[in-house]
Amino acid sequence: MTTATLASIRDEGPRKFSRWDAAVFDAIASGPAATLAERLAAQPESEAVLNGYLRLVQQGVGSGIVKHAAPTPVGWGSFLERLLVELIPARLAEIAPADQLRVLVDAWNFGEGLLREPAWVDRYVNACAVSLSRLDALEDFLVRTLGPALKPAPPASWNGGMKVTVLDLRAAHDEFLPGKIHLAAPTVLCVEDRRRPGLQVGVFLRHGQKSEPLGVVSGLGEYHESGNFPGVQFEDGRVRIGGKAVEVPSLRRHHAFAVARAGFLAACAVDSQRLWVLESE
Amino acid sequence: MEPQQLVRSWLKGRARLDNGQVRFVETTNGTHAEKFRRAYDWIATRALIAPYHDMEFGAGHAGGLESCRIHLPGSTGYASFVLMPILNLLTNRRLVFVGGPGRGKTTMATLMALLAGAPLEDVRKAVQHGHPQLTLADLLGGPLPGDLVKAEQAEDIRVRWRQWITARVKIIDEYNRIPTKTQSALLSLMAEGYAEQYEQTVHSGTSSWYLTANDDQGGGTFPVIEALRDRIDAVVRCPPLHPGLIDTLAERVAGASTPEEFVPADLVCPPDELDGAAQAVREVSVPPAVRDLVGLFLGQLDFCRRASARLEYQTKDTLHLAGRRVGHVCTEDCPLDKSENLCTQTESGVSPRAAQALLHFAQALAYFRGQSEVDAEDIRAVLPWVLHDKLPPNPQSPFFQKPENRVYLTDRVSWLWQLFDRAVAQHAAHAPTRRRTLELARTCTAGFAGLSTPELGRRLGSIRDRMDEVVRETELNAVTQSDLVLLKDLYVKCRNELDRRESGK
Repeated sequence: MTTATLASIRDEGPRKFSRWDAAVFDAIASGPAATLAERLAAQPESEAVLNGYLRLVQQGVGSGIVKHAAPTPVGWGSFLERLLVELIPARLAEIAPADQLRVLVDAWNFGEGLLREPAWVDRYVNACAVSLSRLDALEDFLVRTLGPALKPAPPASWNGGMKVTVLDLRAAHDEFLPGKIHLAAPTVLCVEDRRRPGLQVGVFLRHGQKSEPLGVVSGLGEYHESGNFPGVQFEDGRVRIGGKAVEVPSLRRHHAFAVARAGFLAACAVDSQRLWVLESE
Repeated sequence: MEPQQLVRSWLKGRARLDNGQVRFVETTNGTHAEKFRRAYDWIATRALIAPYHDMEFGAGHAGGLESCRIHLPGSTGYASFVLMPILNLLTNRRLVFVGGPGRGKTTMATLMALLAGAPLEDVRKAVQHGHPQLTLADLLGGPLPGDLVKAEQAEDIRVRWRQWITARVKIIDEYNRIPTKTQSALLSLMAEGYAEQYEQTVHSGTSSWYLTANDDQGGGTFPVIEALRDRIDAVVRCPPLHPGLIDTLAERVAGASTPEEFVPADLVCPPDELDGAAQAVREVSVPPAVRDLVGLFLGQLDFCRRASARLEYQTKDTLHLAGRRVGHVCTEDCPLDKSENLCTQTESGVSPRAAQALLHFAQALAYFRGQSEVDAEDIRAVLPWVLHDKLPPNPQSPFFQKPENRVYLTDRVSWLWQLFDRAVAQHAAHAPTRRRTLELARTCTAGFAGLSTPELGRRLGSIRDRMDEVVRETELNAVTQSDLVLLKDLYVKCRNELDRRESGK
């Protein structure tokens, strides 16, 4: 990376972008970009690739997408931020040099595409990013990851055993009090706050007791499923699903619940910030 | 959409590979309103740092002491010095900055021109600097001397118009130093949108005007002609230097930089974007309840019960035409409570032109805030800047004699806000008694031509009965007078329709 190239891209920043943050750009230039430069040092024409990478960083910082040069305690702001600051510097060198620029361009477009979708989609992909194996397999990763969340799930039989997972939604928002619950996608749940209209927490439903909150999100619409659903009855410390009783000792009086065809029942209590997720095995 | 299709569709994004280089296709980033909000943020935090947030939204928090009141916004707060010029750009209107030298008046105007896409060099050349020797030719241009010599008839003279005339953003620096005759030429350009020389005309086109004046009262080397002042839609005061800005100023000295050096490319609005935004502003609706509130407020300002015994002439204009002032008649002889009725506080009312400017700026503010309709907060926020020079107070009013109200004679912005706040309270208080009048008016909005003759007779009776009720049940104040004038107007229209049918014409 030549100093002149870096200086030119840096100087252009404030003239092109109103949200330009020179400190963040400098931190990326001296951190992740320097790491990438070291990893690409041995390959020919690495300068063009680095230049391309810095153009993406410039655009990311200037558009307000990249706000940090390292993950914050609450994680990355978006999958695109993570791509630019963490994943590309760490993994671009694994790609054949001839493909690196194309991979950079595609990575940006995928990341920005995610940001145009409802907020939970980006959060969900970001939460699944550990399973991204290679940057040139980004498209496959996204299709594979989004499939279960977006495609109608095969109906569960509800005949096997049931497992219970308890999620504390305080992790998403300190004062969040679960209210109305509905599906936003086949395996994405929207939990609305009981006291603050518009405050929503997304929950990704995953088998194997891997369901997890997606954090505070906005614009989660209602997803309606068709088919036969088991009858649900709440008793003190117990839930009957399709006539089968499941002991849930900590759930004494429920407030609201929703059932997902994929084999999940989520419920909240009148006096708790927690969410109980029952999954059919 | 299938996940595969969705993910594939993202590949057609902004980033492209072009001859081995990564490039971005420029697209409109977000809505136009969002762009103007970013422009506000950039100016307020990076260019002309503005720590004085005097346009507030939300109930917020009111605290402090009698001697030092503190208002904290419940929602967003803005600096009028930055926001009003942006709203002026959105409305293509005329705004004047007032304040002492070096306070950033011309800089702010220059930033607006840069936002509109003009290069800095062109903007600097296009600024018209008012001075006592400014001639018509200096301001507008003129024919080349050679053309004048060669011309055998008027049509042979070709006027070389100054380029600033057709600029999207026009800046007139120190307009109160321009000689009176040249002011008249400026007036026709501002008011009619064209200038004339040697029987040739040039049109200014769609544009936003920014004028500056060092003197708050518009006085300067030459008095500003009244018609020109009247064409200025808003007045913005430049904030004083805040100690917190010293660091920024020191950095600018060290870096030899100025705030108007550039505007980031992602904030620049080409003419088509400005036109689109201006159109979107005009599409922001003003709901009937807000219109009624504004009408009730403005109606009170023009009213004077002592001006005439006839409803139609109970206005301050009647007084002024007779050479009298409000102070002459607004005495204890008028039974209205001077602490409640707003009519006592002003020397005159507001013209329909100013009322339109008020609504238009409020639409722009609602658009800027991302709302589809204007609410009372939008009206309140822009009101002092639109009415600043349009509404003179009546200093003799008993209202201003109270010690707690005397400060309003020096602080016009706060005075206008309290006027509006009182109007809002009155609007709510009068709502129950006005309900039937407004319902009756609503039933007449479709006109009277569609009613049968017996229905017309009944409608006439109900309007007359309602007028009698209003007179009997309410005190004759501005609100009552306004409603009575409205009812009488309906009565006359209904009567005319009935007469037309009876006479067979």
